[in-house]
Parts: sequence; C-alpha cells; structure tokens
Amino acid sequence: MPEGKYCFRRPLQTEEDILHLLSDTRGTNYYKEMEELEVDTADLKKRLDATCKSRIRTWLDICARCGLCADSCFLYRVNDRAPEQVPSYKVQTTLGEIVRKDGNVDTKFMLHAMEVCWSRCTCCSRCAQYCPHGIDMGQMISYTRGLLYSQGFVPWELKIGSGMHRVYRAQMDVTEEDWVETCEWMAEENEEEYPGLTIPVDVEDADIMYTCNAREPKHYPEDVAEAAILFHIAGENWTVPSNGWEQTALCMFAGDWEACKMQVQNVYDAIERLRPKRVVGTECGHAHRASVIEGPYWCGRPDGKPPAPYIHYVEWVAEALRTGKLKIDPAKRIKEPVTLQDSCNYVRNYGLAEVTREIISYIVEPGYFVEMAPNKEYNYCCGGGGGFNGVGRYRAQRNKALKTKRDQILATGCKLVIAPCHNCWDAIRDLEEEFEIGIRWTFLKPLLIKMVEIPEHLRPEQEEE
Amino acid sequence: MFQRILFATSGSPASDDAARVAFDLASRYGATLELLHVTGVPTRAYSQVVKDVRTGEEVSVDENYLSCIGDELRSYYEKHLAACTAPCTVSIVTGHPHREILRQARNSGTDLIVMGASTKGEEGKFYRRGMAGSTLQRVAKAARCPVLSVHRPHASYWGGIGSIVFATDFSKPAESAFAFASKVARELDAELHIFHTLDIEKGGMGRDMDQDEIEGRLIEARKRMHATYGARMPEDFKKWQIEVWEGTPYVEIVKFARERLADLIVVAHHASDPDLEAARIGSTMEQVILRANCPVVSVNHPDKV
Repeated sequence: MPEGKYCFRRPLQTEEDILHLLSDTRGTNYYKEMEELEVDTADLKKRLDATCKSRIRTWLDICARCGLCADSCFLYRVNDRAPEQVPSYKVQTTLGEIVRKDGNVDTKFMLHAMEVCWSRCTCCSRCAQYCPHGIDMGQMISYTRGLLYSQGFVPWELKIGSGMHRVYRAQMDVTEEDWVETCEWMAEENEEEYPGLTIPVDVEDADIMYTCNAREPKHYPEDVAEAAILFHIAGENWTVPSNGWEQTALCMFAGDWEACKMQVQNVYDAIERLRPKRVVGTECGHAHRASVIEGPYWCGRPDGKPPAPYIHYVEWVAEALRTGKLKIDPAKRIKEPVTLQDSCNYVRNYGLAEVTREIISYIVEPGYFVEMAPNKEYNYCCGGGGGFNGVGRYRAQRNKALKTKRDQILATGCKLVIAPCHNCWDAIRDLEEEFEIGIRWTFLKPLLIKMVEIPEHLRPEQEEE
Repeated sequence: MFQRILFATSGSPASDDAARVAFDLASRYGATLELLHVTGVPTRAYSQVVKDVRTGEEVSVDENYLSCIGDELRSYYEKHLAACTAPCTVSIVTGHPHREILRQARNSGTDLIVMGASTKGEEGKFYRRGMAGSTLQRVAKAARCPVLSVHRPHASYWGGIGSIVFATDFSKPAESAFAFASKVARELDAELHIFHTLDIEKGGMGRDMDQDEIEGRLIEARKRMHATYGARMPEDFKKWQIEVWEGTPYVEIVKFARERLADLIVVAHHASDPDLEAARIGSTMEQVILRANCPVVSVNHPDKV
C-alpha cells in the first residue's frame, strides 16, 4: 500500500486533517497502515543530496565506533548497557545505513529507525561532550528524524503536534481569540490582589515582549498570570503579541523543518511588528532552542540571531533579582533541602547553568541547595526530552528512562525539585506518578510569587484592622 | 434570584449531596442548571491524551468518548433530571478541574457554582499538578460568583432556605459575602444571623486573654457589627440579628449554625494567604464546609452577588 487513510507522507495542513487523525484513537490504524507505507526512495535520495552535507557526512565517516559515548548516554545505562543503546550504534544503524544505501531503504528499516530515533534518543546531546571527535549524536538523530518525517514515519502524537503548528501556529488548538481572551481573564482574576495588573496585548516598542507555551493558555493559564504578576511587581514595561505568542515547536521534535520555520517566523514577525527592546520566553527548554538557538537558521537570518535579543525566563529572573527589580523576602526563602533540574536545551546546549544557580542563591536559604550528581552541562536528561514524554507508543520505554532522574533526585535527599522547563517538569511529574517517591516539583514562577516583596505602591488597599 | 447555576459534579456519590441542592435550588428558584463534568485531566505532556478521572486510564478525547460520558452522567442523574422543572444542560469537558469550572462559569455568566466539597479517595492522583490546594479551594478563590458546596448530608434543607448564618471576619471579601447573604435573606424572607467569632487564639497573639479582655472585645465586636451591617439593613427587613461568640472560628460557626437550625452558611473566602497548602489545612472556610450539616456558600468577589 503506498499511502493510507491515516498514515501518509504529506503533513497535516488543515484543521480537518488534524481532527481526522485525532479520531484514530491512539493512532491504532495509523501505525497499522505505517507497516505498509512504502518508502519513496527517490525522494529520500533527493533529500539526502540536498541536505546531508559535509558536517553530517564527516561525522558519520570519522566516527570510530570507539564506544566512548556509551556511558554518557542515560538510555544506555538505564537499559542494562545494551549495545543497541550505544549512541554511535544508534546513529550508524539508522542514518549511517540511509546514507550508505543512498536512500535505498525499505519500510521495515524505516519502522526500526523510527523506533530508534524517538524511543532511544532524546537528542539531549550529552554524548557530544564525551566524543573525542566532537560528534553530536543528538544532532544526527534530530537530522534523521527529519528524513523519517518526510517519509511519514513519525509517532502519531508528533504528526498531530506538528500539524497543530502548521494550522494554529501553536502546539495546541489555541486561536488568537482564545489567547487574547485568556490574557484578559487572567488579568481579571488577579487584579484585585495586584491592583493595576494588566496583560498588555500588542503594545509597540515595549521593553519586553513575552512568549510562552500553548499549554499554558490551554490548560493552566495560572502560568500566564504568574508571569504577568512578576513583570508587574518588577515594574516592567511589557507586552504579549496577539499573534506570535507561541514559542514552542513540537515540529522540531517531529523533524518537520518546514513547520519549524513557519512557527518561528511567526514569532519573529511579531517581534518585527511590535519592535520590543527584547523578548523573554517562558520556562521551557525546547522553546528556547527553537526560537533562539535554531530558529534564526531555520528562517535564514544571516546573523544567526532573532530580530531582537531573546532571553530565557531564567535570564530575566536572575537579572531582576540582581538589579533589585524583584526583591526576595529573606524570611520566605526556601528552608528545606531543594534540588534543581538542569534543562538540556538551555543549560548544556546554551550555557545557562550559572544563571539558574544565581537565582538559587537568592531564593534558597544558604545550606539548603543540593546539586544533583552529575549536574550543569553534564546533567542527565529528565527522561522525557525530545518528544519522548508525549508519545504513547513508547510510554514503557519512557517510563524506564525516568529511573535515571528518579535515582538522581533520591540521591539528593530532597523532596522539592525546581524544574524551570515544561518538559522536565512533565517528566518529573510523571516519575512521581510512576514511582511515588514523595517529591514535589515546581516552576520558578509560583515560588517567586510566594517570596517576592511587593512594593508599597502596588499593594491592595489596606483593610481595616 | 439565581438565574444561571453551574453544578460542577464528579458524577459520583461524592457529589450526591451537592446534586440534591443544585437541582432543588434550580427548580425552586427557576434558574437554568448547567451540569459540568471534567472527565479527563491532560497527561502525556503535549499530547491530546487525557487520563480518565474515574478509571485512571489514558484515553484519546473524541466526540464519541465525550458523548458516552455525557450519557452516563445523564443516566446517573436520571431521576433528578426528570423531576427538575428548570432547564438543564450537560457539558463534558477535559482539563484541570478547577480551571475548567472557572472557565465555564465565566463563559456562561454563572451566578452560583455548586460543587461537592471533596472527592478524596475518588479522584486519586490524576489532578496533581504540583500545585497545592483542592479544586474547591481554587475555585472559591477565583470565582466571581458565590460558590456553594455541600459535604455532609443535611435534612433541614427540604423546606427551602429559612435560616441563614452569615459568618464575618470583617474582611473585604466578607463585604461581598454580606451583600450576598442579605440579598438572599430578603428575597427568600429568611432569618439572617450575622455572626462573628472572636478568635481567642489569634486575638491573644500567643498569650491567654483574660476574661475581662475577652468580654470587652465581645462588646466591641457587637458594636462594630451593628455599625457595619446593622446600619445597612433595609427598614422593612426585620428578620436579622447579631451574635458574637468567642472561640475557634470554624468550631463556633458550625455550633452556631446548628443552634440556629441554619439551612445555609455564608462565609467569605480568604485569598490573603498565598500558600494554598497552608490555607487548605487551616482555612476556616474548608473546615466549616467539612463539618457543617448544611450547604455552605463561599464568596470572594463582589461581581456576581
């Protein structure tokens, strides 16, 4: 069968497409049809010729299969050191094969490659730090995902996710109207406690434009409210765009590079339209990678930078604490053992490890912060990165992968984990659900709101008594 | 008096008492009744999959699933629906329960939310979001309209609302609660008992107050209540009285309500404590709800009173 009713090569382009695929509960038919989905080898070859350039080819070539990357991979370690989990093996048997065979691969191979690329690698790139040649296996797997996606071999949830970005320019069905409405709602819900609180939409030339994750307006708009409250307390002149507010890119996990460009360009258009001095993104790792690190290249920006300086939420928080825009009440600092999850995407791959620790120095009573081991750029992936968290087909593998983080957290003895990344936050939530180790987990925003001092002029009118 | 009532239900025995009140109120006072059931909590990160709140299973949400749950809910409340003279609708949604209840209330312009007080033991761990506080606590904090909840079976209600206890702590939300309580009392021609507890633990700031001080403060509080509330009672409404007792607020409120055969307790919700976890354990409101044998209405905002 060339292409099926649910499983086909072309991306989801319309709301109807999305609903149609969603109606195939759990992707049962989708995966069944995938077993018959033919590989368009001519197209794959064409794509290889066009995109597989010297860097990837050199890496494939110089990889000595020495296995030094093996122990760096948490999936290798957590899966009883199975040789199939050695990063170089994972790449050589997928991308390596495709390149060596010049795209001449069959359906069975593609199914196997899909399983490897989405259930045996989270693209955390920890291995890249241990390779004597500096080969980044995470990048290679990510590239392979793109090849697989173009042929229709992608997990069901990610096909839908990247379709969402194409249709809504958001990872979920949140329309511009829903978003603006949610902003109004959240301002309304909190204006009594924080008089004067607003969520200004589409203000031009503001100091800050804020972007977030569609799950916030969709499921927990408290997060949007918390961001607003903290900007308000810090006295920032800020805004959100009515369009271009969604910072994430599930399409990056899916390997749908075309959608990645569409998604990020939408944010950049908002930046160009509103001309903020800079942009602050929410507590999300992959969103930062998409919009700040990789996005400029997807969009072909010659300087490799977004249209305005684009910082991660932790950078804004650290700066606000450093400059005194946000002041922590010392009596309210965290006085229990607490640990910190380093997000691969903005710590290992963007170098913000010291920034988060600077925040810790303000909000945790000295002596209570416990580092995970290893940490910072050597920290392990939460266990659910790169799209792993959301894929039902690989749930069992994902749950097993969570053991690494579980054991790291247990070793700290902490019951509180700060996780300033949506994906890490989800994985830690899931590991508590799975293993019940009795921990709590949190973003930075709710913690800060509990301990920040509210300037006199922003407090609600004093009640009698 | 109530035009649009939103009954947020777990569709299980935990909401049975609330259901009786919701259907009865709607019929009695000619309001429309909207049944809302949040059936699934988002799980698996960004995916469209939810965890069914009753089975704990992961399900993909589609029209079919929602309509099945809707049918189940209709059959669970079959007798209520048949007997209810008010127009009723059923909505099945997915999401985080407190958020979806608030969303629906906002969208529908609801003027009273009715919900069960606790589904402990039923809801399991699916609602956990690393965020403290119960669904009720979160709804009560943010809702623009009064929130009525019922925890213990109550017999006295069947004759309608004849006796209302309004418990005040003189806070700003208590102003809204008072506005609501006095409006309901006048419209239903019910007795209104305006009640305050002198908190002997907090009032003493860590030391024991001597009896003279307690009595002095009781007199002071009575004066204050006459000035604050008594003065605002309309001339033609005589069925109100003021009472102040000393003790632990929730205990005294529950005792007082029992003594006055209250059919309804109205309290203010306290949003001042930023730590919902602490608020949940220590909150007078939640304690009153758990212990009182009549419905309790919590009011936090003046908007829909």
